[in-house]
Amino acid sequence: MTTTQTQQDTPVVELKEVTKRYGGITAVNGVSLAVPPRSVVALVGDNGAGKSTISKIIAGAEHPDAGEVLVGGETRASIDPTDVRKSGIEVVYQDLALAPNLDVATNLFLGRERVKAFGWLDRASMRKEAKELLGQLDVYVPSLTTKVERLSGGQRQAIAIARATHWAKSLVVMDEPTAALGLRETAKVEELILTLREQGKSVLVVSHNLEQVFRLSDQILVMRRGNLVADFQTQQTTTDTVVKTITGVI
Amino acid sequence: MTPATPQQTPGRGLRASAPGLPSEPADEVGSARRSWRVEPPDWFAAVAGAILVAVVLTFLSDAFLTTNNLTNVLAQTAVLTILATGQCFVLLTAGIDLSVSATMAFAGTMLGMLTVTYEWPVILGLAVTFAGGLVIGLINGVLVARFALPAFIVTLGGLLVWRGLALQMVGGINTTGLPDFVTWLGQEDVLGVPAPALVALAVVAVSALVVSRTRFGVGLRAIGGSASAAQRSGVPVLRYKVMAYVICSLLATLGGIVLVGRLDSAGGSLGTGMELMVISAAAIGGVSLFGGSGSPWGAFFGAILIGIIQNGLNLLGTSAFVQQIATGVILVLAVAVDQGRRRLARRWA
Repeated sequence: MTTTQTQQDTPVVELKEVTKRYGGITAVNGVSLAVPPRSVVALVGDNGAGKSTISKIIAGAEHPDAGEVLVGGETRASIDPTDVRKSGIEVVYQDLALAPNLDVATNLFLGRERVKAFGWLDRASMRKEAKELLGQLDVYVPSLTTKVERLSGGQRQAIAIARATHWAKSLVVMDEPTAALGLRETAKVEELILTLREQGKSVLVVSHNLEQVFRLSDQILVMRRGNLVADFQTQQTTTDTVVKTITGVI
Repeated sequence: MTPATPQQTPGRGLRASAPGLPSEPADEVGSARRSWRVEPPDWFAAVAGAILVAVVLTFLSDAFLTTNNLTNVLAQTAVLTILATGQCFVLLTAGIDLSVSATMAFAGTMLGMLTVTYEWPVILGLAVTFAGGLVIGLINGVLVARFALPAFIVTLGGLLVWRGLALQMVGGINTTGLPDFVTWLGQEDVLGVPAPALVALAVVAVSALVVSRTRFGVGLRAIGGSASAAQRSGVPVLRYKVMAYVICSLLATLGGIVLVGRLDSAGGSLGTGMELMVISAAAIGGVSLFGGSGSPWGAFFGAILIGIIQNGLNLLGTSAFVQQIATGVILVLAVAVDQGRRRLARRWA
């Protein structure tokens, strides 16, 4: 049972002494962190603290200058975004990376379309699966054939998250998922994040909204000027402490 | 969690976690049933325009609504249809190919030179001509997609180069006496339908399926919508863009072969200035010049509308200059109608 135990506790993603520089600026300075399985980890910090750089490194969109990235306990060699997706990590980008002119179902399967003989799209099976997926997540859209550009900001966000949920095997990285959303839409996205955890996946969420972070997360990582300065268990800390850590009072 | 709607799934209650907020409408997720406000297709304006013009011409001229005249229109628009269909692939990616008519002239000239002047077997001549089209497409595609040069500039350069090369190859003199197969392709009927029209229809039908029913087609439309989103979603953007330019050049080559067959004459001045008519046909058919929307059927109907207008003006004895004016007006009108239609659809949505 020991092996199974270790397997279950292996972080879905782990950074070891990761450093990233842009010219003379060190955006991330020797950061080590681990995202455990089945958990929501929040990454907080002031503007320019290095949060987005961390999420880009995990997404494979940036290559660290030093240090290691481990996925499922194994060192990741390639940094191509396609390979990162294949390793079971999905990213919800701040701009969502949806094709506005294509419909909901097509976006959910974009780049991963299912085909029948002779390369014809298997539209029936993709529609069916898209319908099931949105039903499971309780995401409302007028129709699967609605173009994404016709949806509200919240609906688009929900589609991007639903897509990530569908394809992620271990981890979904979200960069400011509710920054542009209204109250009800934000509630929806928060539900989706909790659903992911219920499904046994982890979520790394970059957020400015501390109330939200306390509502959702199991663990809070605080960054300041490229350094990871604190690692709290959410239940054992307070907003006040986190704010002081972010601003450097502590 | 507060209990909310009766539809709430037991044990999840996801909808209810925003206390005090009204619940969303009942679950209509993925309703496969189409609403009554089905969006008209992209080529709606072109078809409506073609019908309108046809009705008017039927009243104005006895010669218009005859089988003979209508098959004639199909044959005359075949080359335009084939080129506009190719253009559609490039336009979908938010690109443009201004070199299509030059490529067409180059291909036609090359076929004439190889099969007539050098007396090559027709099969070999066709193979080498298509290989030439392939190379032109690859050059366009690689320069645009890999080296990120503006498509407008690359293909504007191509327009000058390929036509210049075609003129240079034959010294400005046209070749006639093309092989039987080529003239058959351009001039004969099959079961009462002109062969060039059949070729054009086959090209459109296959292209429409490729655009709507394959991963490549979805990828092209995604690239036109947002290249960076397509890239991050795993669409092979570079490869698909190159393929779009290659298909466009190969169809321009096919158009050149059909055209020299029709005229039994091959030379560098074939179809001078036709690239603008090709782009007009696609735009009239609702293919967006900004990428991401449109269908080869649109290219087809756009070409047909232009063809009917030209035919009608011929029947009425109007000058070629007036035809040019009419086509220009129709281009702007069709795009205006298309924009209005989109705006209405958006308001209703």
